[in-house]
Amino acid sequence: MESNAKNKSVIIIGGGVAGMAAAETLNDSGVNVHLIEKNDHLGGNTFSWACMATGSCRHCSACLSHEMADKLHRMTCVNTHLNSEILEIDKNQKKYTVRLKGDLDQSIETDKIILATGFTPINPDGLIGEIHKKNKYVITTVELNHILKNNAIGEYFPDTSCPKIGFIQCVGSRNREKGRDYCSQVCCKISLRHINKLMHLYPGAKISLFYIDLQVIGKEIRAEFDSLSDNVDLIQGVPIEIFNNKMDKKLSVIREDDESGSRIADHFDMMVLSVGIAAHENTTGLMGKLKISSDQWGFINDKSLPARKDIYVAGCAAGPVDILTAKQQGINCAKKIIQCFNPEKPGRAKGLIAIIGDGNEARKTASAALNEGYDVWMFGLSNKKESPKKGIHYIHDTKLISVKGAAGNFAVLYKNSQKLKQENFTAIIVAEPVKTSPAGQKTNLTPDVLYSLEDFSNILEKNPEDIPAAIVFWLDYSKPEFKTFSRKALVHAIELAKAGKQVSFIMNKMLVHGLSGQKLYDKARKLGIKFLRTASPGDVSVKKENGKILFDLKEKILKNLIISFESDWLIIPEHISPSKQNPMIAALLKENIDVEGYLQSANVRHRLTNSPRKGIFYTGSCHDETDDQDQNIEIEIILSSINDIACKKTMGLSCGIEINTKKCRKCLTCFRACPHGAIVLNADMKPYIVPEACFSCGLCLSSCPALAIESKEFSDESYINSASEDKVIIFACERSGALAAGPIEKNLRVNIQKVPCVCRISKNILMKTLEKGAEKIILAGCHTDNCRSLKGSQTAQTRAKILGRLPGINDSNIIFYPVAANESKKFEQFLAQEVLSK
Amino acid sequence: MENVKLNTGSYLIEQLNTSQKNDNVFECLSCGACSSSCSWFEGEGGPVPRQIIKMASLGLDDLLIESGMLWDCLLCNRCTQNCPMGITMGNVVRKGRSHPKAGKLISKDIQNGIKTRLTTGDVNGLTREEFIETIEWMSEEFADETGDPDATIPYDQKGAEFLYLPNPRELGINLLHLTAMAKLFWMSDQSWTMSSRHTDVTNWGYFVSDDEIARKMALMVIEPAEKLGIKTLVLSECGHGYHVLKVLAEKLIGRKPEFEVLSMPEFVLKFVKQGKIKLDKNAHPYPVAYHDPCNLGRKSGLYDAPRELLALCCKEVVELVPNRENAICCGGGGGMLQDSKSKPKRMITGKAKADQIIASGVQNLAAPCLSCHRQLGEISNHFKLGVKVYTVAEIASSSLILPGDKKMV
Repeated sequence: MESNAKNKSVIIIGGGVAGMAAAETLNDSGVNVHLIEKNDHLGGNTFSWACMATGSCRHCSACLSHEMADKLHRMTCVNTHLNSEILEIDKNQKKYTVRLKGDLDQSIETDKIILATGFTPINPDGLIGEIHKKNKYVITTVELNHILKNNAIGEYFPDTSCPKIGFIQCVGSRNREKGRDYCSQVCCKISLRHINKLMHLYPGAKISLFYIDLQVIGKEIRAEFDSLSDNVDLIQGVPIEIFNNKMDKKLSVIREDDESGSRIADHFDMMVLSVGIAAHENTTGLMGKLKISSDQWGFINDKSLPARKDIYVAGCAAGPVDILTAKQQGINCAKKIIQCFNPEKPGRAKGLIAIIGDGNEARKTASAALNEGYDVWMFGLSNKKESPKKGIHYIHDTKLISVKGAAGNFAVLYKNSQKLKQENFTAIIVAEPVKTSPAGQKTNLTPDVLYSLEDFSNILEKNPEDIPAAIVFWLDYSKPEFKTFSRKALVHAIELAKAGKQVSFIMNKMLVHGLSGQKLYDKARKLGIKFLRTASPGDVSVKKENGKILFDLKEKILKNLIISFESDWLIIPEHISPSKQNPMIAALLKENIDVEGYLQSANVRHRLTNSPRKGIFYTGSCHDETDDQDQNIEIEIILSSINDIACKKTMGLSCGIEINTKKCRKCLTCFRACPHGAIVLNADMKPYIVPEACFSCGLCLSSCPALAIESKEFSDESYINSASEDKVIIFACERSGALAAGPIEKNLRVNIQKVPCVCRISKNILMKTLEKGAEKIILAGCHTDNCRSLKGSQTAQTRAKILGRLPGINDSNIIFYPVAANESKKFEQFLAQEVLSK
Repeated sequence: MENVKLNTGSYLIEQLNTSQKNDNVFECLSCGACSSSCSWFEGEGGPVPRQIIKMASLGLDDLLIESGMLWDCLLCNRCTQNCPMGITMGNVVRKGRSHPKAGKLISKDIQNGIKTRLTTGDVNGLTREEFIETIEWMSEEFADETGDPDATIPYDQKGAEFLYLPNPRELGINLLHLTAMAKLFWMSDQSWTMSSRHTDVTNWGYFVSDDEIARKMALMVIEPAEKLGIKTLVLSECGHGYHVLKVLAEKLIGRKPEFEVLSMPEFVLKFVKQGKIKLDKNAHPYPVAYHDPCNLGRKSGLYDAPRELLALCCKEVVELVPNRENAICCGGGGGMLQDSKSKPKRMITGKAKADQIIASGVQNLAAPCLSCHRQLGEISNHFKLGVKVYTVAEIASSSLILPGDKKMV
């Protein structure tokens, strides 16, 4: 079946996150890949970005580009062409011939092309651009990334431990006059993480964040924002001019005073310009060569891609996306191409999929799975009778008892109608509905004038004639609005305004995410819809009089003023919270919930849709802030992953780890320890490893008290022997420590041993290595919440601590050091201090 | 805390919520860029640009009028130079000034000036007879001074190529300036004239944003000029006069005037390039800083000609930073200089300019606008800057190289 793919080749233009993800996926299916990169290294923009961890991982995902780049160099089907650019592309009957400038002088024949040309950070211009050029204390977020990555921020503040730093959002974005009337989406998140990092490095720092509409969107971002907002000066309004006071070397901006509304000067030691994302300058020429067109902003218009499906686009080439989404899009492109090479006719009963949840998102997922030829069982709490649909089996009013087994063969035990039942599934998709409850009770308005957004949508659809003349939408009523609601309210408002209704918004900010979000907001304002901004929901008071709702509102921009107005109806988007079932579901699936109580931990090693347990997937708002479009993409990628499982593409891989049944004492330590659910029990209650589900982290191996689990490749002896006669040995995780050590290894000349996960290093290895004469063992693992095996690096940390307390060993003999792949400089400085000074 | 009612059908909303760009306040993103770059900069009082737009877009006309911000605004447009939605503050504020309820805010001086101009043709009330008397006397002096009996200051010459439109100050307290300009015309060897029918480059209808008044004032210039049959109208150095006659005239009177419009420095540069006027760089052997008048630069796009001309007249042209599109207002714009009671305020609004001048380190300053010229002089005195202020054409005039046959006496 795979033979088709093996004769094919694909050119990927751009070696950033999206391009690398596509290359890796194609490689795994045996497709020949030419990866063209104009720089001298893979990794794209994010390769030079800093780690944002502060004690634990902040899920920025920048380190992933290092891991991906490292893996690619070892892939057999991937030819990487560095320092190369496209010179010519010719289209013959079915193939493209591509000539490169740079790497080699030959031409490459290819069946398909993936455009992953990425983005260019916007270069600040105008007044702010001038001072950015001249003053070293005015930097962009890109430059701040470089500074942090080089661990060099201290050079900027030699005299103070309490620097005053200002962040200015939307530099270059959201500017119609400059032809960039879109929101770059990622910059608010980047600034929040930068602020968190700076506060961590300088707890006494005073940080101000100047913004237009803070885009608090995405997994755990609300929590991030909450924890920062008390310590950061949040200022609505972005300065476009920075003055350089030569006397005290401070930077000043003029802003409106919160109390008086007058203009005041604010002084800073450093100003950070949060620059947006623009289409990559090289993309234009490429689009011309391929006869495809750009959208009005210069991003590749994916609607202009040829219908014959031989050109694909992934990542920021098509518009601003974050790292994980870019990665996902790369994988998606590759999977579509593989499917093209090996078309599989959808047949009945490819397998059985369990869907947890019975809301709209679950239904949508079910229909999509059905279309792909799967039978679907939906497990839900509701007791509504469903009209049966062929291929979809509704299990109502269910209590899930356990989920055993592994990818390809999960056994779900559940209780239904007082009976215990079991069914086997190929895969499990979690689409548990979120809890929605009507908001606005505190207004004391009666239901004839107060509506949830959903109820209002229904009225607008079915009985638009019932809608009165004046409508108010109230966003951010109790906490930052969800993006779906902002968008939906805007769309409704525009429709109403066009129909001659008088529409107003009360809001703290407008979420203008997505390329078209800004345009929609612009359209609404132009139609005369009024947008009233409040600092907090408490700034609005509402009462009903003579059938009208009367509002008194403290407008954020017009200080010391109460604005009164009236309307007929008030629409408040429903309040959303995690389902009460989430902790139970997470426990069943051996997964974590995130800090806000939603399903799926924020760990970037498995997101967007995967879980540490292969064959279990998440979709919809139960795990992330998704809209319809986001969920479509999620479902697409989930179903193609399930396809791999169903077609047993992942079967037969050896994980290299086996349980020696003779030595096994059935204590089940391994079964409990495995973070990936890869160890299951057979009928005799004997554990065995399901290779397809195993990530080969070695946690079972290092935890087994009977030393019954063995690995041919990574035996205890091989690690102990590798220590040779060295006084210092570093066991470094192949996804973090070893990558961070890569660029510095030659200079340091220390013994660095790559391990699949630092949790592989058992007490046995540690003790024997010390016995052999090592004086210092460093376990260089991932930051908390960034470990692919979830608790792997924490386990290593605990081991180091416990052994350090034993007689004859002290805590400087075994050190756990958390480090990310993009923290070479930090690691180097740590090693210089810890190792080389001795 | 004050309480106001939101209004969806206010006068300003009707005036400003048009679909065209530049004055649609509804387009405002509340980004605050304007407030951070207002020429008033830091401190109590003065306009807060973002609040002006917000009030206008919420129909809070009365609040805006009472705030006093409409006449504190210098109409310099610096705030909206970098507006991401392309809103132009000058348009918004001027619409506010023409609000039916805002008439009371117009200063007595401006009200009187407009009345005088409309009745007499000159903002200072100079009559036709007085004009002729002044010009004939000046013309004799000019011939004496140049020693050239043909060197005159002509007026009402039909068929002349160029018509010079002076600033009223040139016919009153600053006669020397008119002589300096006459000298440039004389050297250019072009047929030129002045007109006894219109003696005033200013247009205060612009400040009060009364299109009818502005139209009448523009026509008071345009129609007699067309009757004289001139090809080019040369304007005395005046910021708002240039903006009105060069940029706004067509829209105001509903047709294109039948002549070209040049500012005095543009005129001079044109004939320098043709080799008719020769300038001596050593006449001012020191650096001169150039000030961009808002009406000339930001609002009308004239940046290079005055700089080019200045560079031919002095050792070096020094730039004030920031300049051109982002130049800082002298602090006297928007009708402020036309109000005799405004000086205390102008010494606040002029602070930023004074700082800029100090930072440049120069002792000589040129501005191609007689209003800026006056304000800069007052700033120099007030802040004790010791800076000499000229207009650009004035510097050109004092740099003239006179050929042998046109020797000065």
